[in-house]
Amino acid sequence: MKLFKLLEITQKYLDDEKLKTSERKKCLKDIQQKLKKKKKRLKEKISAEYDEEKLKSLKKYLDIVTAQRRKVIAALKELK
Amino acid sequence: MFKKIILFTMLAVLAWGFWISPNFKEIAAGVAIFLFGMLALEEGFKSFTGGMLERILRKTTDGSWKSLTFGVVSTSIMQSSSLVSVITISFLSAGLIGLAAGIGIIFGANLGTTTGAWLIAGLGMKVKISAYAMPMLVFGIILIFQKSRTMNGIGYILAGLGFLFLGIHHMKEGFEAFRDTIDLTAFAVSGYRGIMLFTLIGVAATVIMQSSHATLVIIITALAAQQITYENALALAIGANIGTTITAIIGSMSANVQGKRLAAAHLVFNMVTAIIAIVFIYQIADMVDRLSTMVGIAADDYTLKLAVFHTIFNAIGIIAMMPFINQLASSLTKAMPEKEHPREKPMYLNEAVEELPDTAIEAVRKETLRLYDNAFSIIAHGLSLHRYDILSDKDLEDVVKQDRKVIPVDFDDEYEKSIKGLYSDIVKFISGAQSNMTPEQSDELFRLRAAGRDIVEAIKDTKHMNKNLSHYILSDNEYIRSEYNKFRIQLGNLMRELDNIRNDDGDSLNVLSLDSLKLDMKANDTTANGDMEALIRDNKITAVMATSMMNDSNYAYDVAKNLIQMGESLFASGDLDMNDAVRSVALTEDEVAEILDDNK
Repeated sequence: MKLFKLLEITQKYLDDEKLKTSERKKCLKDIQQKLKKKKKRLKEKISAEYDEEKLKSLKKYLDIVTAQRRKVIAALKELK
Repeated sequence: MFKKIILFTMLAVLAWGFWISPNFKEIAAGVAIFLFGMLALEEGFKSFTGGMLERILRKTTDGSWKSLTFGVVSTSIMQSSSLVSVITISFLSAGLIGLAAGIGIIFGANLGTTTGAWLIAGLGMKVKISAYAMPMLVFGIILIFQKSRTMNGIGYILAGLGFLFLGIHHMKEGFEAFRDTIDLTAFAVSGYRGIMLFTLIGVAATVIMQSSHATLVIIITALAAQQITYENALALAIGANIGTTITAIIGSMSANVQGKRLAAAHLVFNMVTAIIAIVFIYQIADMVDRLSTMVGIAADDYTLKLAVFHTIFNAIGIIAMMPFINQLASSLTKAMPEKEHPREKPMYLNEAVEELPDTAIEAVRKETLRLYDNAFSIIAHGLSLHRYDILSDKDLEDVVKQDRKVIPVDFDDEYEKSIKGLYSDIVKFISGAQSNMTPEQSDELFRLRAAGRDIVEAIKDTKHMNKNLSHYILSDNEYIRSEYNKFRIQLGNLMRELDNIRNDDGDSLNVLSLDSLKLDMKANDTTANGDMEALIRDNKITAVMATSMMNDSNYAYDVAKNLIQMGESLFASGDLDMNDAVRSVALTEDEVAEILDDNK
């Protein structure tokens, strides 16, 4: 069992395609985490904001971050 | 011509040597195979430098001791201080690291390279090294033919090591056979006269072969075959240390002033170290004897003792020079001042940065950012706004209201003066830098070239818009004046936001912030169209004004679109994989339009 795992890891590092996919996954996961934090911060800001104009702009930004996160999740699903 | 004469003389001397002595031929062939091995090894390591080395460098060069450690470790692994110095010059020229950090790496490389002497003396002279060379060569060559970049790199490293071992074997054999015919120790010179003479021979041999490793192998093999005396071998090693700086000096010739300063620092360090080693040679040799006894090296094992000597005198050099690293950096900066860079001339593009694909990409990115800086003023003035107002915290609505003056701009002249030359140099450099690049790296270069084109397009669109803008912002018709001022404010704010995103390059997601600008751009365009229709319907503006406004609204949209597109390529400063992933997440025009529709 351990030998298979070792072979799998070695193959991952020697196969350019696999290495690329694994790198891509790592990057997307990193982006996903950062966007999650960004979204949380935006929601906190929105709940504390009373100015109509600023609120509108923050909500717009939240929509963008949500759409970006959706894209990351879709890309990760595709890689799986 | 002179170079050719030297080359042919050298070839003739070698041919004569081969004719009269088969042993000399074997030694020379050993050196040639060894040098070929070094080239293969460097090629192998170069294929692994993509991104990884840069990431490590960025993290490890924020302190002198960290840079020193990086120099020691990387040179010990790659077994080539020349490769490390060329890479360091390349990074320095592209502005990736500072001079003090570069000097730290070079100091470390000097110590790291001494591990080579240990390997050759400890392994090469005691084990039948050629037995390992053959399988390495076979496996290496098979892997070199593989498509995978990783396999290819491993192949070059294996083949490189195989050739190194084979080279050492031939040199060893040659010197041993030499012993039966000629006794080179008869030419030994003792005392300080001998030290000076053999130091000079060491310098000359390393300058010719451009590899202190090759010189050291010759010294160690000759010493093992008792063809030179221990004292003369020490002097040769000191000379090899001075001679090795020639690679960095040659490498820096095509680099900018930063690279030249580093090569000078390398020379200063090795000269100081050599002077210390020559003056205190007997004391250091004594120290070597005592240390060797302590660690169990036999008294007559001169090859290992030479390795100890090599490490000790380089370590002494580091101890002596490390406290002055910042002073050395500042005196070199004073002695070799930076020439003032004209706006239209490239600052980062030179042959030295072409050495490594990632450095070349970073240099193009920085140069294109300079192009954007030049374009910034032209576009700002085209909107009759001042650069400092855009980059301030002032409300641009107030700025526009208070300052109703048109800034005259000669677009053609400005383009010729500060854009055309630099843009052409960037395009030319990109065309030349693509060899040795992976498809991903080439794609990144194309993206940067496209960013340059976006900048030029933005200038052209501003020029088209400028004619009517200069006229209508002074118009008595307050409606048309207000519409054109809106263009100015929107584009001014966009440029301000772009600047904020650009300066936020510590955040790898900064490029994603551009999506909100895309949304604003779309929203502004829709609003402008609606406003225009209302103004025509209510007869607030004439048909001529409406036509102008319609055209200029398109130009304003294009300026914004081009600048945002440029930002997506230019402001991403992470590694290639990350940049690519971030761009794949950025919203398309349709996705932005969808959000806009949902918000209505």
